[in-house]
Formats: sequence, structure tokens, C-alpha cells
Amino acid sequence: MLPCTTKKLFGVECFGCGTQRAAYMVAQGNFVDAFKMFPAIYTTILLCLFLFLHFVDKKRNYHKIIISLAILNAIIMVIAYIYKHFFNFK
Amino acid sequence: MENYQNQNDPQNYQNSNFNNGNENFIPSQLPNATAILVLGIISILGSCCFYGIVGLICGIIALVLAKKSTSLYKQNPNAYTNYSNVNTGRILAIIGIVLSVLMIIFIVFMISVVGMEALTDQQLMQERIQEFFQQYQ
Repeated sequence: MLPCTTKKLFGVECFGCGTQRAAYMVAQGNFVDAFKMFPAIYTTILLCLFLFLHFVDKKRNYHKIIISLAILNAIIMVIAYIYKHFFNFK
Repeated sequence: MENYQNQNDPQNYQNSNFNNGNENFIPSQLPNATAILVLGIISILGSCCFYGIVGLICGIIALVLAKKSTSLYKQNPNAYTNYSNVNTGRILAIIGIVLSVLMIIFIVFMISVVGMEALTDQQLMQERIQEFFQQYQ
């Protein structure tokens, strides 16, 4: 797996840390563990799926879905990150 | 496009999509639309890699390109078919820039609170963060 450069240099996890581990868990079928590892994994998978569809399927319009999924993804990432770092170990 | 370059005013070359004077026009593609979309995707997916710098750079490039394309489209909204690509790419780039900036702010915040030497030490870092929060309670 690719190492996180932010974590390597500063020791601080980034917003995307856990994506690869969570994707691996989803591929193995551990859906609950994947959600606990990185809650935004499902919106990320959906976003990638719809982006792929957008490039392949020219007839339909996926713009609203892509934009709303991207905003949702960013919000989930930030909230999960803040939760993981500031409220989890107290 | 080559057939329509006998336009009088070189400034309005995007009007070359119109057959001069006639109402029927040939819908064409905005330049860089796919590039803007791809840059926006890289910016949102790569916003965490390399300390947020990749997302920031790609997002800013996408925004600049999107600004050009949007002004082109606004002058002549009927002539282009793929404006929605530009719009999607622009919004993805904005989200990517926001995430990257948050990432950079967070790194700076952590360095200022925790200190450089405690960053690689997980336990020391947690102690320092708890100290920081207890100051304000």
C-alpha cells in the first residue's frame, strides 16, 4: 500500500488516512470495520463509480449526483477526522 | 472551426460558431472542459496527498481554466454543449481547495500546539493535545 506522506513527515494523519485500508476491508467484506476505519469510504466509492459512469455514459446527466456526493464526502471526511482526533481518546 | 474563421472581428472569435447573420449555429465544445473536470477530480481525491499541496495546485489550475471557459460560455450560452462539465469540475475544484486548505491549516495548528519533536510520538502528542484543551476548560 502507498504510505501517507503527511503521516510520514509530520506524524499527523491526513483526511484521507485509512482510505486504502478501508477499501481493502470492503473488498474482503468487512463492511462495519471499513466504516469504523474510514467512514467516508462508501461515499468515496459511490463518487468514483458515478465519475466513471460520467465518463463512459454520455447520454445521461450525472452532474447533480456527483456534486452532491462530493460535498457529502468532504463533510463526512472532515467530521470523522475531527471526531477521531479530538473526541475519541478522552 | 476552420470554415468559420473569416470572421470580421478577431476579438469575438467564439462567435465563429454562428453562421454570420443566420440563426442556425453549430454547437461546439468548450475548450478544456474535460481537463477542468479531471483536474477537479484530482484536486478532490488528492487533497490529502503530499500535505495538501497537490489538491491545492490542481484546484487552482482548474479554477483558472474554468473562469476562462465560463466567461467564454457567458458571452454565447447557446453555442456550447458541455458547460455542465466545466461547472462540475469547478465545484469539485472548490471542494478540493477547501479540503487542502483545511489540511494545511490543521498541520500548521498541530505543529504550533504539539511542537515538532512530539509529532512522531503518538503518546506525547495526545498528552500535549489534552493539555492544550484543558487550558480552555
